[in-house]
Amino acid sequence: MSEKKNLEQAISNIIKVIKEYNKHRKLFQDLFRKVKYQLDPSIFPEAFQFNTKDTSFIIRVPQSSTTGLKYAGVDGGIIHRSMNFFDVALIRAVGVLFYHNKDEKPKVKYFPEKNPFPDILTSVEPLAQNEIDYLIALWRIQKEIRCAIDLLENDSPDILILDGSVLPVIDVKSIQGNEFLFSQYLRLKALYRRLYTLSRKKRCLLCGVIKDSRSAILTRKLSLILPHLSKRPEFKELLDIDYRPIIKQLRDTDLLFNVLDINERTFESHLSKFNEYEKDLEDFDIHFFYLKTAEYDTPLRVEFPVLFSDSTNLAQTISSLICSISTFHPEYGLPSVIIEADARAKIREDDADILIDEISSRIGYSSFSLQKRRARNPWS
Amino acid sequence: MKMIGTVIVTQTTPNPSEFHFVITKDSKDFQLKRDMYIVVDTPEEEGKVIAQVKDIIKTNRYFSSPSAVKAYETSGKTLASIFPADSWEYIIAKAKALGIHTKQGVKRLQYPVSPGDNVFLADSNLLSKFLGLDQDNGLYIGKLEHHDIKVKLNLTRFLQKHLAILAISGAGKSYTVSVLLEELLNRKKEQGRIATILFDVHGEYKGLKETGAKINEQIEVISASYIQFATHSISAAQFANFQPDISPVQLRELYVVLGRMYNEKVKKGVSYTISDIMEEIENDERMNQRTKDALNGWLFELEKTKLFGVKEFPNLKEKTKPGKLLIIDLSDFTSLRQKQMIVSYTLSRLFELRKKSEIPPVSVILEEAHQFAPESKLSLAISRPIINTIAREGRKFFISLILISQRPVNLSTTTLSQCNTQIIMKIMNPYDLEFIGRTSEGIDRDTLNSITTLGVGEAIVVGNAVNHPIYVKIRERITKNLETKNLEQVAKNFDL
Repeated sequence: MSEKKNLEQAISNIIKVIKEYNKHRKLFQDLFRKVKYQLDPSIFPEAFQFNTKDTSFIIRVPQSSTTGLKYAGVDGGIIHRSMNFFDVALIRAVGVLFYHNKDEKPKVKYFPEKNPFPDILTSVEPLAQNEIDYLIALWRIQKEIRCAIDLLENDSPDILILDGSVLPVIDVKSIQGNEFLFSQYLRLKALYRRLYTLSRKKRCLLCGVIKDSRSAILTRKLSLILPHLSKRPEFKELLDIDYRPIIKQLRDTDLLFNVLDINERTFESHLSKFNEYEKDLEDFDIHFFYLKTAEYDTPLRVEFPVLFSDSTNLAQTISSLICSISTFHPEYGLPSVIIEADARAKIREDDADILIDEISSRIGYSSFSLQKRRARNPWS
Repeated sequence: MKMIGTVIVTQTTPNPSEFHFVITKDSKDFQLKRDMYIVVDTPEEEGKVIAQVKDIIKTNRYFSSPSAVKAYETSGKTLASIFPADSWEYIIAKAKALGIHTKQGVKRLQYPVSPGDNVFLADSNLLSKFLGLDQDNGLYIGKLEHHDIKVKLNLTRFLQKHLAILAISGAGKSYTVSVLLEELLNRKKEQGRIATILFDVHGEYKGLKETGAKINEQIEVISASYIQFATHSISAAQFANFQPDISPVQLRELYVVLGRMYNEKVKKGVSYTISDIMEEIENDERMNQRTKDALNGWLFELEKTKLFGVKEFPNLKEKTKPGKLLIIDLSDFTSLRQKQMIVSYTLSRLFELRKKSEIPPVSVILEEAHQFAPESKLSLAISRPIINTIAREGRKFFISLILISQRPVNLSTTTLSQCNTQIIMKIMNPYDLEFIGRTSEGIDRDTLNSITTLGVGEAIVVGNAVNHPIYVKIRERITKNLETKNLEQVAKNFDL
């Protein structure tokens, strides 16, 4: 009986926390929704460490047509197996390029091809589990960026969308002690630099879309301006509570889910600082905004390097193009090229099993004996 | 051979009975159809696996979720205009393994094909051999559906035993019979020719004689009104068959009388009529008067049919010749009993003559066979006993039956079950279908279900003539003169 009571208690506590969080989230969502067009972020340059061109917190995105537009997307797929003596990963990336002529179905090109055979990468380095995870992530991103470069070298899209960040998002501190991993990181950075340069040369808008972003960069910045905002009548409620711990809990997408309407974006901001290892990319100015492309989907975080000095409003152009190829489904607002690239790049678990079986049969081991003990649990 | 796909794994296949494969050939170059024959080349085995496509499924990830399709298309654009949806379309086919074709012949498949094995469109030569077709000397009845292969059925396999042609009215039974007749009549001596007798219930085949085709000379049409039985060749048992209510005592007495007449007349080369029998009975001092009266009553009734005479016409021994067709036109007769008597007499005579090898091997075509071998009581089925006898024993004496019916459920089960080959055309009646399923050994549930979907001139051949049930598009007839009139035309002509 007491066990049941404990379980009941635990569930009640979880529900209480969630309800509390939802209550706070709603409070902030309602407040920012009220002032979303009035709040001018350009008057808080210090808080945002950036002189944004946008004069309201939320901007409506103009409609644009896909007719005559050449747009591309890149995504990668990966399957990783940690065996007793080695790690093996199947990685592939696919670039897709759509070209629309009026309302006809898109003409499609694939890079390097429609169904490329995955790279089979193995490592016998004695790496810790977290290091293995970094290595696999590095390999995957390298593959995707190479694929994007390949696409740009062979064609000239108006916009190229990466699935994920336009920066090498790796916790460098964790890998700097490992020469092998760090060399992989340096290689990745070089690839990014090449991609930026090529995009600039080809006058291609480059951006990355991050779905389900867990970032809190915007809410953190907003927390800095809240003391100023609390003087506004709409924010009067904030004076009654200690809002600082609450806003610290909020992720950007949680706050923005109900603040943004479809075809709206947040003001253009920039990624505050490059870390010390990314200094050599600093000459590329990376900006971001959140964009709502589906009514019941969390906003996309869109990052883009400012590659063209003569461009008047890159954020508006990019957001408009992304909306034109993403706003078809009320619960799933991803760009069509990313959906297609994801489907093409996906690798099935079975494919990895076939590979492991083949390797084990050739070296004379059963695939079972190659697996780690936890994977060999006969009862799992 | 043209490669069309690759064997894939599903939860339960490949197994020795069936497998799935994905089409890898571009649909612009090739279109897979249900019931097509395919081949899997199994490298580790000694032959080629032949299979038949039983189902074709198209899949497309973009259209796999109804809610996603609805949600996207509610946006005002079609999914196909947003995504390259057509490039995600895959065709997966389910195939039934029929057997493995080896140098030693066809074997049952006892192990599955392997995932990843290549699938090819069956090559004509291989398929022909596998299905048991006889491209050199066979009877060409049509083309194998979906394949450019002539269906030529080996004469022995096809007609040494019996054949049933079953279909609803208007599905092409008579057309198919005409095609078959053309093939039988066009056979050369060195190919082996048989004689053919056709009972033409509706008089629709007599036109074959007037087609102007070369085979005219080999056809003879005799109207049933001229038919005469040689009374002396009819046994007491046959008389009893014509008059099923005859009692055992009467039959015994008739047997004695006919035996005496055989010794006194037939042995001396003298024939007799029914009147002669009646007179012989009347003069029999030993026979009870009541028996005499009853027997003469039965015989008088038979005499009234005017079918019984001194000599047989047509002379079946003379008219039954290799490569010849004798059409007995029953259309002038309205009495089913008389038609059954003609069929009964003729078949009995042919059987007797074949037993003595006095006539060549013969096939007897019986239109509306359910009228002549019905599953009803004997008094309504005078011809059934001899039909059943030939159905059971005819194979040994090379006399075969070709039974044609639009109501198989009314046909004698014994007779139909002896028809080792069946040509089944469109049938809609569920009772008929069920009956065919029960009486036909070579037909599986899938094939049975497809019978209702057959078009005019399309047929399934199942049984002894082929190694596996096949779908055939019956070939075009050479003789064109068998005109079928439509209601509108007949009404107009009448009103002129």
